[in-house]
Amino acid sequence: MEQTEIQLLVFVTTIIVLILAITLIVFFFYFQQKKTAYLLKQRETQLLFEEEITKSKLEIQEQALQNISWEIHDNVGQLLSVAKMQLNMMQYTLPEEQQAGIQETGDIIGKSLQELRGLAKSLNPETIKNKGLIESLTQEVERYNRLNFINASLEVSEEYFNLSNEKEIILFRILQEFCNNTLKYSKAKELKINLNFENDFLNIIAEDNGIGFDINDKTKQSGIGLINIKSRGELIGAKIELNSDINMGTKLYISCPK
Amino acid sequence: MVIRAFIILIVISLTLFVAVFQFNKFKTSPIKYVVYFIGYVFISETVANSYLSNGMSTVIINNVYSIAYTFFNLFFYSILIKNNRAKKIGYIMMFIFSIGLLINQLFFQEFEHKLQTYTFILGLFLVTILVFIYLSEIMNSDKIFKLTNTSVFWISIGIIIFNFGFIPVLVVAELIRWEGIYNYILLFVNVIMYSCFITGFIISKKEYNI
Repeated sequence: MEQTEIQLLVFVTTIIVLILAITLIVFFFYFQQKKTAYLLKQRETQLLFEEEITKSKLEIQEQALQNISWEIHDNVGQLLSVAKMQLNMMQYTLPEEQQAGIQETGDIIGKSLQELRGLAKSLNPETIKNKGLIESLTQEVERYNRLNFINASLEVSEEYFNLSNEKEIILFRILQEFCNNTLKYSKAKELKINLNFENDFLNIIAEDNGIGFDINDKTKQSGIGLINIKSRGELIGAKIELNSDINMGTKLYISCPK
Repeated sequence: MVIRAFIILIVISLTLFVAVFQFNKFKTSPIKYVVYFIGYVFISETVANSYLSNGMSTVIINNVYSIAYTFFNLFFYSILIKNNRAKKIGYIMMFIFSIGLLINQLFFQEFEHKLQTYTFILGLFLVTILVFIYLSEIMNSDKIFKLTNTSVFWISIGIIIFNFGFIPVLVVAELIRWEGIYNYILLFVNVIMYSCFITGFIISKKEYNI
């Protein structure tokens, strides 16, 4: 075969091979675009689905809490009221030295009734809706202080605004969960909640001075409902951060748009 | 110096310049090895060109280059591939290439005086296959989302075009006495490959470089 013929053959072969290579690359690009679009759509659907699940969970939870609240108030509360009334009536039929004892028992039942009513209110979402976030939190803080083993305080910035019912209930529940964890686990002496209404954001800082926990320990995270807190926050567009370290207390930051 | 060789040297210099300028993007990723390799290529080309101008033989320099090119690419992509089985394929390819090199040396093309075209063709095939294995691994991972923002993607495209384009002419190179179309194709695929490298270095974003 002559030189020129070989050269021509090589030239044509190279062109064909290069066209093949470029076709492969173009197909690759096309396939990549399609797959990316598909994966993105899949992820979006998954996120929407998870959001719906969280919403349903919350609704069921609120409904359950409302039912419990009614039971406490209507059932147990009524029973205790009756017991107190009967004790009052019985008091005057007894000799004087026994009256003091009965009076004390009546007082204890009265206090229990008061605490039960407070608990029922804090569980009932209707109360939070009617009273708003600030007042509900104030009552909750007072309830904690009555327990006498922690010093709880609430600070609210001078200017404040109302958020939607949905946001206020969720924020209240998040803070309630945080406070319950503090009471149950942290052995803290102080619990501070700070509400700062700025421009279009409500910034909340809740902290205790307790024994803290290792933030990287995954088992603790599910125990304290951290995942719950975060998914609830995501529903209302709030940014949530939890910081803690052994013996350094625990701090919860929430930033919720108006 | 022949114009074609000069152009190739210019393109390599430009690639090295861009790579060093953008080095911050790859300081912590395996792509820095590519930059070092381009440095080696620049030195090799410069030495080869000066040998040519002095009428000396460049066979050994070119043979060393073809072996280094293959080993480097097989090694580089073996690092990039995450799947252990696929990684092993890379190592096996290096082994196969070594055997091929030895056999070629002993029986066909002696290293000192003959260009190792057979081993280079084998090397180009092996590298192409490994690059495709790597690309298919990427397609099934999260990296697919920002593919064109990674340097490795563009480097891979450059290598594929170089390998595909160079193999046909390398097969008949000796027949056509390394002249004519051989030089033009060599120039063309080199320019395309280094242009892809330059594009990759410039376009890519630091956070996507592994």
